[in-house]
Amino acid sequence: MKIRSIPHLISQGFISFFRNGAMTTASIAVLIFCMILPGTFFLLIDNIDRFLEGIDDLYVINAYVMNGAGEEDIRGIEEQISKIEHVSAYTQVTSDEGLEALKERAPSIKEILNRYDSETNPVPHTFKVEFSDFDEVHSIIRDLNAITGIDEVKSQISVYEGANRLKSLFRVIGIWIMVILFVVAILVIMNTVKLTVYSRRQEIAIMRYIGATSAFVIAPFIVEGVIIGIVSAVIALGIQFCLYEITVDMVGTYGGTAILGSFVNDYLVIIALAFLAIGIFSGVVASSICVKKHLNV
Amino acid sequence: MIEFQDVSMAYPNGTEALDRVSLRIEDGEFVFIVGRSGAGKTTLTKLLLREERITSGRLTVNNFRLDRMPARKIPYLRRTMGVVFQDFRLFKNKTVYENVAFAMRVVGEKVSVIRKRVPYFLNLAELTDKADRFPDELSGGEQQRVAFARALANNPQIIIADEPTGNVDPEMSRDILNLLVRINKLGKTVIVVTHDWDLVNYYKKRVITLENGKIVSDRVGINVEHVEQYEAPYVQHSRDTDSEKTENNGGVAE
Ligand SMILES: Nc1ncnc2c1ncn2[C@@H]1O[C@H](COP(=O)(O)OP(=O)(O)O)[C@@H](O)[C@H]1O
Ligand SMILES: [Mg+2]
Repeated sequence: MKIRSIPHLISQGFISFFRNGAMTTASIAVLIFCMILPGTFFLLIDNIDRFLEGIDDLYVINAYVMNGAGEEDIRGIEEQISKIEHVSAYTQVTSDEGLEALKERAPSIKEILNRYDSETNPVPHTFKVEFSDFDEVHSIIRDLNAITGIDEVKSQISVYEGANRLKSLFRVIGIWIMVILFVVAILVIMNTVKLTVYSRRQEIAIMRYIGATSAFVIAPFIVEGVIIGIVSAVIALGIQFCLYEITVDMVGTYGGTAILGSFVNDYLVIIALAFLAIGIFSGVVASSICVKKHLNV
Repeated sequence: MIEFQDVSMAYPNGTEALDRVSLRIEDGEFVFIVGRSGAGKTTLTKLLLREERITSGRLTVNNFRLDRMPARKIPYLRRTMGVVFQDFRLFKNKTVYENVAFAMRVVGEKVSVIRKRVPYFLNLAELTDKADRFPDELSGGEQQRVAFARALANNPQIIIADEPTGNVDPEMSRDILNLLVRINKLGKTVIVVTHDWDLVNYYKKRVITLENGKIVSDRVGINVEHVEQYEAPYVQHSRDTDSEKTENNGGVAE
């Protein structure tokens, strides 16, 4: 096949694309689902990650020392914490520092907080224990709880674990939906291309007799599949964008900053590339299988 | 150049269509292939196009060894031959012009060359004023001339016409044969498959006669002795009316 044949072959692909109206529309519809559903799950998962990143102290366990503990006790506790396995670092916030920080964070109750002095300060001395591996969190928490003089141990581990369960659920559903829809899309595109193969059967036979190469015969069908894929990707991207923007509007903002990521800045490029990849890949695969099956080339 | 060396061909169902055929056709020759229905004529042209494969022997066409050539070379083999099929095999959804132009597009010819050469071949086939018609809007003879123009479009060395006079009147048959003779004068090898004895006798070219898949004669003019063996009515007819002429024209008896 020569380079100068390419414009002709592409125009043939377009002609077939527009000829099989109903089937082409069906192919595009299925492909759009094949893109938007996994796309939606991807956006959900990414926004869960974004939510987790927004949580303070996600990677920190707070261990509160019992009220009334003296400096001696605190040094003893510190020594025990330093011996716990998998603790990567820790810092301390004294009761006084804690009280000041609270006043900063919650200016509305500053008046009330001002009434406390270091004698009556209810904020406990706090150890902020950091770790590198989420798998070890539970054992660290157990060890912290075992230290006498530690009143309470708090972490965001349950939020983290809940979010992760949700993420893996979405990932599994998303992948399965994609696989199933992908198979359906391939079958529907194959049927669409088959219509073209049948309507051009005689023409193809004649082309062979006058010396057309297999590539020359096949190329328009592949082009037809690719066009179906690209058109689906463009439409799916538009729909995904609209759905996302509607969701962003509904979720709203928190303290003036958007809760969800921005479609254009955060997702447009990756989703566009993914949709095009899904579309072109399924178009090419479906056309190739179909041509192999219905034309012995 | 075409060379059959001891070529046999059997269809998958066991029918022996050709049996140890050996023949050689040089570039620039004009050859009739005759024989009654089922003799193996069409099979022979199918082998030339590698539409079917030979079962044994050796077949060479324009430097392609067909018996051991990979399938991907078939398009390039076919481009060295222009075939006018009995049913013409025109593209029904393309105009006369596009039918000829498309053959050139298939081989990746330049658009500028296509624009120049198509009118030339349409003129040669006297179709210039029909360029924008579709095949269904043409008479059988006109469709056949389109098929000729298309067969010539890529300047093949060999032109093959399968039963070109099969469904036209005798006067038209002469026109078609005259066109083929003119093509032959351009230096092309011309192979005409036919059972039109009148025509074969008239032109006094090389005649290869097939019978039951075997070559039973290969000579210039018609072999009267073998004509005698045919029982089809049209042979009877041509012998009755033209026997004298046939002998006078140099049909040599064995
Ligand atoms: N596709 C086929 N399958 C099996 N037998 C065939 C096929 N085509 C032709 N034949 C047989 O091969 C022999 C030669 O046929 P063919 O070449 O078509 O003869 P002709 O063109 O001289 O009439 C005949 O006996 C015919 O029945
Ligand atoms: Mg025949």
